[in-house]
Amino acid sequence: MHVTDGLADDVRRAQAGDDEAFGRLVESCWADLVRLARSVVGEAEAEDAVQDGLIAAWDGIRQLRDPARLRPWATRIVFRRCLRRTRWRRLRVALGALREPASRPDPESELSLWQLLSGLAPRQRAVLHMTVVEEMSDSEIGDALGLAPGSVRAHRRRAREALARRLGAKP
Amino acid sequence: MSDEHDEKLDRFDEEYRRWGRRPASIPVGAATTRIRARIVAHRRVRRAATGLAWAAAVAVAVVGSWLVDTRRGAAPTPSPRVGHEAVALPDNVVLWWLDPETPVYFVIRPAEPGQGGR
Repeated sequence: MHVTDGLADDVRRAQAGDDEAFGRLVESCWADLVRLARSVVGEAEAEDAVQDGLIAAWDGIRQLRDPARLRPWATRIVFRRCLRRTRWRRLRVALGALREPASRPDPESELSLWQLLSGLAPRQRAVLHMTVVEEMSDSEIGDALGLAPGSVRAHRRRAREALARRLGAKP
Repeated sequence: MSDEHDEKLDRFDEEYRRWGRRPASIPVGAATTRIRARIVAHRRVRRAATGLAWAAAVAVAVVGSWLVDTRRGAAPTPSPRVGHEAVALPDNVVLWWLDPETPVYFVIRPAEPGQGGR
């Protein structure tokens, strides 16, 4: 995932306050960020989390020194928003203000993806998403999530173990 | 881990890849428009907040200086130095008041011939 020269120019323009240039940056990374957010917070909140993250990114874009790091930088911001949302959701569930949405099995599959994913910790979900769906390397994942490569491997191993247990427990 | 488990994990990966790669439900153009609209609103809120913060700072400064002035006005006046001030001092004596009760007299002695200067 490289930032082209055009996008680097757009980053500089956005840093100077050009909203249209920022809009083009949003277009370039929207789909990837929504896919990540869907794996971390679920379908219902994913797009709101990405919007919140991108507003925060616009707010802090002057702090991005290297335009080539736009994607990992924006991914990390959105990922943090997703983590915040999962914490709030846990709190609201604990307070009884929100009922966890019942996961509906995918009609096309025996596996209920979200049911399995929601049993993992948010960081494990993000690492698994970037490994399986985006096919990113450990260093790319670590860069985007702010984790050391060793920590990426540990999260993935724990996620795999948890999935294997859950899949093995299925009738 | 058994072959059955591996097979299940492989199937999970396949399903997950398919599930995870679905397009976003909001098209990118609509999402960009929404985000830009939110940025405009966010900018207005931030400007208003900055204006309010400045107004609050000015108000605090004005009220603070008014309070200080009021307290100074209400403070007890130092005891009059009547009597001391009435005394006429010679030309070579300087009187400083360290506080209302403590006068300090400096007596300037005239230079004697042959001392000081060149």
